[in-house]
Amino acid sequence: MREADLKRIQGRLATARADVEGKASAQELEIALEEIQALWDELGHQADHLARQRERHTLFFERAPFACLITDVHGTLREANLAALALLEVPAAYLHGKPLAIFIADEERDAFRMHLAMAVRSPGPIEAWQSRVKSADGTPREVTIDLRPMPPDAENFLPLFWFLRDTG
Amino acid sequence: MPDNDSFSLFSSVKVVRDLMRRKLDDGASQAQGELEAGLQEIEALWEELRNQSHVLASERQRYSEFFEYAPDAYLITDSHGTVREANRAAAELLGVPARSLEGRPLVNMVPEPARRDFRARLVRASAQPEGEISAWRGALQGPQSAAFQAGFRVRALPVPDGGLASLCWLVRRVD
Repeated sequence: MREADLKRIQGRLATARADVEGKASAQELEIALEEIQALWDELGHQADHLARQRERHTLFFERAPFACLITDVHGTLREANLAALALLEVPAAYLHGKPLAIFIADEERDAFRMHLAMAVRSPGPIEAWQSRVKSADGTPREVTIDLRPMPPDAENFLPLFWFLRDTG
Repeated sequence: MPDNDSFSLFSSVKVVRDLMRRKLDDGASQAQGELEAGLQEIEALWEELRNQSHVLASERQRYSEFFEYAPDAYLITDSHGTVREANRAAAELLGVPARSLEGRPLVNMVPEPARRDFRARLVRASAQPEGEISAWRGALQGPQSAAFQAGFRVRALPVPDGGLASLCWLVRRVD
């Protein structure tokens, strides 16, 4: 829709350009400029609205009173909220790009990999399971893990959401 | 920040616009080349803004899915406990459509004898330092369901510029 608007304005500008030597369409050019400005202002409002919404929803993730981590389909960490950082006792910078598996207790890793494979193979609800995570200093904690695959985003990234509930 | 990027884009389009307008008064032969350049620049800016919007929309989508599909009841209220947003699990827990929870004070879904305690907890949760989580247990009752024991975890969200204070709530059935 907007692209059609842009094309129309471009057409008007092109006509004006062809004629500009005679100054006959100076007014036409002026109108086109006004249209561009109006269109741009509208797009600006839309972009601002989108940015505010995104900011708000980011907060819902970051400040949620429960732990959540986002990984890719290989289980590599992309994001973690504050509650997850507190649970694993690590700073955010430490997590990014690391395999989530390193925070899973050794004896729980087979189950972890099995659930990861299930989530990737057939996106849909997976029953929560009991597991044990270990914080950066190795302290184990009992947790329930709820793994939710999400639809791929515009860049074809398939995010996996890991909800961790401390049950210890 | 997206806002700053948008701002610089708007400034740029104004520069192009002013340039083109000035050229209207200049010699015609020069104006043609300037118009050409202006059109190309507008096209490039347009493309940039469109890409930026895609990224923003994609990120917003991810976080709103996180909210919507969180396995436990997740609600956003104002500082008085009036629901602004509620996810699917919250709607299921209280036995009503999520949209019908919006605008409803949470205290109305607390059985009468437990309301005084709930209000006191709410005041404390609103006043706590940012980042702290208040946790307690208490009774809850959906409009058409029996009362049940619930665990509440509440955290205050940072107040946006010119915006209102909000609280985010995790609510779980514990009985």
